[in-house]
Amino acid sequence: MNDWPEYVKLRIPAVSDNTNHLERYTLLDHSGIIRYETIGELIHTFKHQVHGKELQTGTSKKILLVMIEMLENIMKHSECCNGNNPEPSNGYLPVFSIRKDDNQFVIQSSNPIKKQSIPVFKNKLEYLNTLDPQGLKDFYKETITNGEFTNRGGAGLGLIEMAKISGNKIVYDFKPIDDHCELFSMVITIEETSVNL
Amino acid sequence: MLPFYSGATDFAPKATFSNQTGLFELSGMSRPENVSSFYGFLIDWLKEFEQECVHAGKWPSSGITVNIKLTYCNSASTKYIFQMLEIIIAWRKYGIVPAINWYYDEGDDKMLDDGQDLSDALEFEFKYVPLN
Repeated sequence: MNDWPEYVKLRIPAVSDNTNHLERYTLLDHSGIIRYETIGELIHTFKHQVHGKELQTGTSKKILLVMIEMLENIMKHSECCNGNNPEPSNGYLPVFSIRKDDNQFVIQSSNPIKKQSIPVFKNKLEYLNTLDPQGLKDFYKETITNGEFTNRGGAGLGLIEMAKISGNKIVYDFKPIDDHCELFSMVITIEETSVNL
Repeated sequence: MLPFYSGATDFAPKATFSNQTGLFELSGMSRPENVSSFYGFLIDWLKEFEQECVHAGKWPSSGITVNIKLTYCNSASTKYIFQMLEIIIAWRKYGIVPAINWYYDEGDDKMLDDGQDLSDALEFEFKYVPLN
């Protein structure tokens, strides 16, 4: 497994004391600009990687769903490191990984985003972390029925979907990079035998 | 009007919407590159169908059946599918009660849960069909 740069290391929450199935490996480890095609390639790589890992269908599906929402999120907020900005935020390229860490899967992303996007993210993440499973379902229903789409084509459901699937709090962090961009890092954990939906 | 057909790609679903049979079906994986354009066509088609067939009382005698057979659906697609189903369900005012069949792979609790969440949000019963 590649070492992550210091700037993306976040505290990974301990989810369980169950140590019967201690197992650690990396399923995906990507660094670079995320485009639509990149996500497709990473989906294929993920499917290839889980083949033979004896993962339950439900677990691998949940990881895949979180992975795609997270990568699409990076793609939609890539102004700090796209073709219009040849100097991608002082070298901070998007980073994405999935690893197995004992009895949980840790899905982690880190990418530069525009400062003006931060309040929306921060407020939503703070709110999501206060909700229980029923609260998440209610917020999901409220959002899917509001008929609103962002000017980036987002439905406002991605973060809610990730929180619903995980069932754990989302760990996140913002670190200033320059006058225009900050580094947004996020960690989602999925327990291997999770039944949270 | 003509039926709508769009073949599946790696990440865009196959869409078959027939104004002759009243069968509207989506299958495959749904994360099209331009999700608003993809579902925008389908929503426009449904609105045209409403004007030319439903509103005019010329809908298929077999009624309207919607089959959702998706293996994966990103959150933006889900919101557009909600909007499509909302249009179809509103045809109850013309006397059409659509059948909405939600297919999911057996063991894929997430896809089943997505269907139940949509049904709950639409306040309309779906039929859930497990696939082996």
